[in-house]
Amino acid sequence: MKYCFRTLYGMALAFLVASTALPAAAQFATLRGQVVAASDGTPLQGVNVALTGPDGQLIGVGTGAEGLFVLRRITPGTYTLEARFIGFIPHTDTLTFAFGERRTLNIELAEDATVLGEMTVEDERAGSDVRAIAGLETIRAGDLARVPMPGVAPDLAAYLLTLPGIVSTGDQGGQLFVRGGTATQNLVLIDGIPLYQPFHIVGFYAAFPGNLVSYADVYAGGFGARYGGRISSVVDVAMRNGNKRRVVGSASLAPFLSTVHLEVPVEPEKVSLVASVRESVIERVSPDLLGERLPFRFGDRFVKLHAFLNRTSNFSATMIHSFDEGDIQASDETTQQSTWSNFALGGRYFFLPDDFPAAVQLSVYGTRLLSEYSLAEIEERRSDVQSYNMEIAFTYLLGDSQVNIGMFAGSSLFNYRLERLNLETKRDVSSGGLYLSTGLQLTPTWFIEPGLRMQSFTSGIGTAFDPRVRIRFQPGGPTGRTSFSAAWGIYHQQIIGITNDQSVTDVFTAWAPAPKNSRLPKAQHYILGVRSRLLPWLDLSLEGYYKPLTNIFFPRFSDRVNRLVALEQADGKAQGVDVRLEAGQAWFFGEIGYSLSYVEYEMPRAGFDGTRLTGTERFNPPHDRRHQLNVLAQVHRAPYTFSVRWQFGSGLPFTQINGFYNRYFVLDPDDEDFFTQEGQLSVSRAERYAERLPPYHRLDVSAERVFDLSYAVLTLQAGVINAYDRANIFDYNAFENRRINQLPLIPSVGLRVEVK
Amino acid sequence: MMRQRMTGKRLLGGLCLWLAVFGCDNGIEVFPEDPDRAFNIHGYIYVGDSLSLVRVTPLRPGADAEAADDRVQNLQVISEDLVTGEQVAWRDTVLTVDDTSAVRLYYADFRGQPDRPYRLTVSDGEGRTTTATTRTPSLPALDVGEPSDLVALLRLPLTLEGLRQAATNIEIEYQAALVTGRDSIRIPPDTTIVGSDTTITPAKTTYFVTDVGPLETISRVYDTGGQLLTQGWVMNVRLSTDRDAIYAHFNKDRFEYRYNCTDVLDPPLFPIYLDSITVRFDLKSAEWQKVGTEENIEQGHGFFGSYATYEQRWKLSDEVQECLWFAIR
Repeated sequence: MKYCFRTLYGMALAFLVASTALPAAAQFATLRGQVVAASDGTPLQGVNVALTGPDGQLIGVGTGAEGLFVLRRITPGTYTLEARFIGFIPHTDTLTFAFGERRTLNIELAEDATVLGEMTVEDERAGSDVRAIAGLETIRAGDLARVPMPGVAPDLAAYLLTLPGIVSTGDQGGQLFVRGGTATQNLVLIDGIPLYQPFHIVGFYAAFPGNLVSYADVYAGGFGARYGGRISSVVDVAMRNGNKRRVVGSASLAPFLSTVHLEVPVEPEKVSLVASVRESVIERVSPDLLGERLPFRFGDRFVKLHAFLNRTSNFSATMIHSFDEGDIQASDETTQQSTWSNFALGGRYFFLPDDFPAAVQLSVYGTRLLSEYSLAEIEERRSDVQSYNMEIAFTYLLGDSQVNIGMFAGSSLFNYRLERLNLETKRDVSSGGLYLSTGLQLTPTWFIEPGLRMQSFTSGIGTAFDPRVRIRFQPGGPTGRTSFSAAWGIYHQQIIGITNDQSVTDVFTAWAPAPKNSRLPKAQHYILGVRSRLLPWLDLSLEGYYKPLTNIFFPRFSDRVNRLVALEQADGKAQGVDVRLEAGQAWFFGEIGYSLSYVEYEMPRAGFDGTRLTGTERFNPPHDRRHQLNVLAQVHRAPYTFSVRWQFGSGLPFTQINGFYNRYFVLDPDDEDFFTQEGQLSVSRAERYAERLPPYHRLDVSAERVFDLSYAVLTLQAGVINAYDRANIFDYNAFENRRINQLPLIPSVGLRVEVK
Repeated sequence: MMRQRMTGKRLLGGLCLWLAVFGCDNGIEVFPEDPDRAFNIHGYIYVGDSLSLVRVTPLRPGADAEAADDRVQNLQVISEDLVTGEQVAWRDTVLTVDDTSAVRLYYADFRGQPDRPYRLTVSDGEGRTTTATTRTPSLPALDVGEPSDLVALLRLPLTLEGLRQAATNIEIEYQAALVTGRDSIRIPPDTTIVGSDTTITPAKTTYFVTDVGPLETISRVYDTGGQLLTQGWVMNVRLSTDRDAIYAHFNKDRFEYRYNCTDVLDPPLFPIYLDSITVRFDLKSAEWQKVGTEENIEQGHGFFGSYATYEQRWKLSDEVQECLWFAIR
């Protein structure tokens, strides 16, 4: 393995040296730079940057990650530069290039309020195809507002659930399952910082403010070598920078969540600060509003500082703190309290040097999750995980192609106790590695992105060596209507989340390193997809996937209440098809998403105390939703917007109960107490996950009116969650013989004020 | 075109019908109509006594103990010897614990046979059945080894051959008695002449035990002393130590014997006669090693096994008895 490390480092260095030499060898001028939004400095992807020469020749490119672009093979002369992006005022300039000149130009695009209304919908859809590839969906800020919410604060979590392939076991718990993976197999990054528990206990909300999301790349699978440590999916969220020109802010009030956010130009045009505070109110208003108690309390704080340090570099720092507590069972007899809090802090320094052919990004972060679970007010389990990481990444642009090289190192501290009577387990794990990926536009129709990620761990966990590749074929070129893509990759996960997969109401997660000398959880992703613009206003996306899973940790809990008996490893597979039909007009947006999926685990049989029995058992885990349908529609007639969403999910697997009994401990023939003792209450479960819960369906509607005042924009929203009050089951408490339903019909009225 | 429209309508109609049928279904069948487990059995068959007991409780449809209905009454509990086919019906009895709760036990008057498979079947009249099987432990052969030391502390190795699990509750029982009668024979001197050599054998008196008192059993607890090796359960009988206890049992002063075999007096003069030694031990069936797996229980829960108390007897050699200062008959 050391040899592999040396080889990769050697390759990386050789590539850098060769790359540095390339422009010198060329006899043409080169223009490189970054395109950002003028208001807040957010890098813009997909901007068309073009040079038009005196004799009409055109050299153009679209900006890639971080808004970077490079134009090569510019013959000396005077050119007209134009940068265009929908919703922004085009930037034009006249540039004269000398022989062999290398120039860096950073472009700021100002928002164009006049086009934001009617053109946005269609053209954003056009822009989203630039990076379309198997497994990836890019969500833009405007998308979030399409989902009816119990309030006026748009949120990424709610929108994610409209995507085919993403399943939630319920409105509560904050657990998302992507294409057969578990919630702890998803990597959620906020400005590059991972959050261990990225969603609030009420499933509408992420642990960060949705109104400050700039965009999110959602990789339902097949993600590239840049990402690691998870085997299911990646949600890479870029948060918006604060306004650098004036103070703006907003406040909203709604039954679930109230928010305040403020953007301040600390140094006009250079440094901005954005801060957000969100706090739940549902616990206080639910008895009056709904006639029943919803015992959830949650909230988050978000701060981001962004600064243009000079012409070629910028810096940002992001801080997130979120907290959740609640009793999902909400029983009068037994309280089952889950609490958790995230704290994350990170910084990124971006540098586009004049004399170096690559953009450099240095990232540092620390993230922590503290979670506890108590039963009947006695703390049963506790977990504290802290991770610190540093990464340096180089992005080298070769016209439409680019090369990414990254090196990273970090350390994680784990401190957890899974049983009340056990001592806390403490472990620390250090890791380091590198990745290399190249996005090569081989021809106008073929794009390939091979990559390799290697990560090595201490503490006997071992080394992961993950090759990956993604391919896109556009028969009609970049402007073609149809693209075919495929992705394949190997993924390992060294840090595992231990959850009680037997009960969806037990949302406690303990993070721990994989046991020493155990086989690492591993998945392979095979994805095939096609995207096509059937009509100018109608897009179709179809993806099939197959994921063999090996060594998946699956906790076995005892027949008694929530006692972890053993952590076992299962093999399995996830496969399915996701279809999405999206229609966009200036006044209408509609989306239909359907998923067909099948997840199966296979693991050794075991007795009630975890002892190994002969044979294996196969079952569909509790997040195996076979069919899922999402219908989303939004009609916009200024100043009104009407949204409706209907979702349907076929029943999730659950384990039937043969009955209850008292278990006696017969350990020795001389001890005959078992003939008379009371015994321990136990539950006899039938074949594991052999039955399914009733299907889930729900209708959410909302209506919104915007009042555009001279100093502020007021948005008044009224809506209903679960409009026909479907009693969707969430879980069945076997010990209390009690059905736990998901959220009932919830009417809501919300008001948001945005200061201009 | 018309055909396509018809197909579309059919598809839409089918989807609506599917949603109407399955989408409105909101019931949950927590308890299966035909559960694959019925009863909870705890108990074992005992080889060595004529009474075996099991506790039977039904699986109940609620966590509360009150949810236990009367299904446990009027049950049929039958054991079957799977070699002979002999069936025995077990009878029920109710114990009252702490003057409050009632415990229903089933018992049978039969003595389990060694190394014999048994099946216990619990059934009600409604088709619910739970079965449990066990094979009673077999009686292992005894191998008595050579004493480890004939000088000081005598240890006698024993092997219960072929055991794959520990023997428990081990006791060594000595059957011994006081010597109550002796007699003697006087042998006159003898002269032997071979060639020019003349050998004179002096006169000698030989004692022998003519009578002993009633045999008494002196029991020594070894519990689980020993270890499981490939040849079986191996243990050492602490003969010297136990000899002290036997002397003490008969109120004989410890100075009446010595701790070595080098200057043994005439053994018939010793005051105690050792007739035989018995090793008594308990063996559990294989199920006791897998408590919790419930591998031998079908359609139910609990624990069902078997249990035996066995003994093996042997006599010590005259040489070892002399060394221990026991009289020889």
